[in-house]
Amino acid sequence: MQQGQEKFNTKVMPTWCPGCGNFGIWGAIKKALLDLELEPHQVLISYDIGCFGNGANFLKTYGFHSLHGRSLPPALGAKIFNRELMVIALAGDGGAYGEGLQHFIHAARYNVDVTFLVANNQRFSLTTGQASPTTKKGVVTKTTPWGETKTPLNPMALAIESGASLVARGFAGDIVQLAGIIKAAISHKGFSHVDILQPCVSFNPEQSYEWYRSVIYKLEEHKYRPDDKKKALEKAWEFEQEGKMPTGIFYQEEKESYEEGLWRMKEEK
Amino acid sequence: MENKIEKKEVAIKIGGEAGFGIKAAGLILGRAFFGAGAYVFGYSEYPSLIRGGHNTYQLNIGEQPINSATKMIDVLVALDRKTAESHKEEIKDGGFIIFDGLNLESKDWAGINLIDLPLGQLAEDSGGLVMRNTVALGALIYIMNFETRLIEAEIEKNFKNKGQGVIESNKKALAAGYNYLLKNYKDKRAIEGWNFEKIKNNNNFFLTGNEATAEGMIQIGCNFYAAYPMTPATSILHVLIEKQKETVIVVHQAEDEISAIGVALGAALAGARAGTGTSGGGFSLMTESLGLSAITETPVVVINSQRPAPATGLPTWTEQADLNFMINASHGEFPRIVVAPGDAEEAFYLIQESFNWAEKWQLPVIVLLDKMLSESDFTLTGLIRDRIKIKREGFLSDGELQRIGQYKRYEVTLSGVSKRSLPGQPGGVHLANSDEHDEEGFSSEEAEVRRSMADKRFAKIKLINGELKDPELYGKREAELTVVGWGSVKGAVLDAIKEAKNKEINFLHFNYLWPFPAERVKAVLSKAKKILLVENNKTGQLGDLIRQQTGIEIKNRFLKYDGRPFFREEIVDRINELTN
Repeated sequence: MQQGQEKFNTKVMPTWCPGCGNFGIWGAIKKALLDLELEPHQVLISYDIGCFGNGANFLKTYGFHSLHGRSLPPALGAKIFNRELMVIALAGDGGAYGEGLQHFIHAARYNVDVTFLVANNQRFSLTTGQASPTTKKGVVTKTTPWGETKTPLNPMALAIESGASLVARGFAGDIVQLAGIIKAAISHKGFSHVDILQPCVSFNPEQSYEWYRSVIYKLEEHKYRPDDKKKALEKAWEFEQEGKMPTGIFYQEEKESYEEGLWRMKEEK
Repeated sequence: MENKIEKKEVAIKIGGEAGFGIKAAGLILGRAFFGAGAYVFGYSEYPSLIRGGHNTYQLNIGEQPINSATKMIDVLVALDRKTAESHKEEIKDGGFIIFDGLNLESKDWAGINLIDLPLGQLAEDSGGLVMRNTVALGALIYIMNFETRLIEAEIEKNFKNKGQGVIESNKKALAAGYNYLLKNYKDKRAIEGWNFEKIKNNNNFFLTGNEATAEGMIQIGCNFYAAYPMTPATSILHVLIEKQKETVIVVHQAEDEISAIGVALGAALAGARAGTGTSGGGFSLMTESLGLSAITETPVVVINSQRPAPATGLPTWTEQADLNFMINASHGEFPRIVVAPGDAEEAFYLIQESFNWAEKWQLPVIVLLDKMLSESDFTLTGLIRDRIKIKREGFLSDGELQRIGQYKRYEVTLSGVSKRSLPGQPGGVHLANSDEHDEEGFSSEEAEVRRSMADKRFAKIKLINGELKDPELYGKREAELTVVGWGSVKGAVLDAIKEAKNKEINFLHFNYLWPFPAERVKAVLSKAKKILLVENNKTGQLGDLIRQQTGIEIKNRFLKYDGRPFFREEIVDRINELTN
């Protein structure tokens, strides 16, 4: 562990399963905060309910452990009211893309300056392994004994289409790259969405670390420039079409954030 | 024919399709009378559509305080046939109907003065058919013997954004209506003159319940409001959005009510005095977060302006059927405060107390309005702007946090309240946790922790009980009949009691519904000779609550659940049935 990261540890040790992707995400967040020279009191994290929501106890910053699917609204409220705060919202794929999908689409549309990190393991894992909005077709889970028949949602494409001004994908097994992405997301002024490929060793053995490593590649190693919405959308669908899964920043644009605009107009005479 | 209007109170109803400018004309008239020193009460009925349908706006205007609408009216302005037909039975003997060539047979309208006024023609001559309402205003002020220049002044205010041309056309239309009556119905002037005694000062207002609520929020320093539009709460959002430049408030229109309360909670966590507002349907969506407010001890004020339910119900009508729901909303057990103002003045003060209490006790405070209260126009006299002081309690300074060292957000205290640190403050880092938690905020499933935290939260109730006021007893302690009600029935009941002036009647009115003031209610009602419950709902929810909390059963129940508020006469009749 990088020296100094321990200031973001609480007295509570993580309760995740050994090998859980959340350990990598946890480490990457701490590294990003440290690299950005942020102190625990300068950051507010709003948590969803689920395996990653339990992380609320293990990460030392100001925290709001919200309801299932509802980590974004409190994050928005805090940021709109106090623009000085560094605000992060966390969720799993169930909360972000299921229960609270509308908040995700609208927060992206508003372009509020909040960083939204989604631990996407394609399962409801804290409830012991049901199909989630990102579960692939045909997959057998407790709620899909004959195989999932619904089409999985594409979070990257949805974020780009909804107006998020930074859209990225990270991998829980690559802390250095993920920390870099989170740093860029936090530093970005506007809504940033980071979908994080998160292996679930207990309920999704197929999408293991090894499997992810066999399909992912880093956009930044392929001279990709994240300034073209059309290209970003192609990248969002690349796995479905070509079996390759890009990681890194898909799309980024500069535009005024929602709360900046609101306050600017409020304060204009 | 007799044309008599008792000027101690005149009731005027203007009716027609949506889009005819019914409420606009009514408000011009109401504001002009209010400005002249009259007491005015305005009540509107309208369906849930934008054009067409049947809309009415009723004004009760008088020299003495008026707190409610009457069923019977003195003047009906029928801008269409439907209005004439629907409200014929409401016109008093000797009253008036103003209409435009509807071929009303005088034999069908015995005892009523028919004023056939070419509204359309005179409006077009003045510049456009849209001004039929203004022509009717001219006729109304002739009958009521009211000063033209005061109406003209209101026309100028009302149309100031539409330019001088519109103002002049409307003045022309007003004169046309007035002069037509002077020429053709000279003897129909029904009032000799007015004598307004209301002291004119800067502390009198003519406001809807929603406007008074919004004014109260500004007054008490509410600096964050998030909402999703829903009738009849929407105009609070409108008023507050307008106030953003001149006051500290920031307003966010959320994507739904779940988000609205969530955003408000996030802002409150960051230190805002935050509120949200909706009607019953939106409140249903907010209920999960109500518990989130309670367990994380994050203050929030939630306004619920009720309308007839369940589901979509009657969107633009009135009912008081959410009382049980407010007391019980959300899963589990937690302390909350539920208040219900009875009129716009009480709304102005109660919303302010609510914001102070939410922060003082760190819990959700629910303010119950209804369509009748939210959208009716009230005359407020002698309002004391700063009667309720802004009290921002329960925060720790950076210095205090430094001295404390090991800060515990949920420290168990006698009062149940533990002081807050705000995100951004060094030394105050903590988790505001929706999971049951220990004193520091960390999730805990230990039996002892759970018990102590539930006890801590409920410890607040005892102190809240000591601070909430008892229900108000209007009238003498000894009475032949005690009327019991809550919220917006107040005006109709008080006015009805005034009319039954030779009878000994008092009125126990509830502003503070939860925690329930059981002791006081028991003390008053156990001595009452005869009790009448008046509620705008089907099942008598307050009556049941009183029985549950005090054992006292109220057998005489006047319950109304047809979407209409209580009209004064209905309560007078019921009082007469129960008294000698």
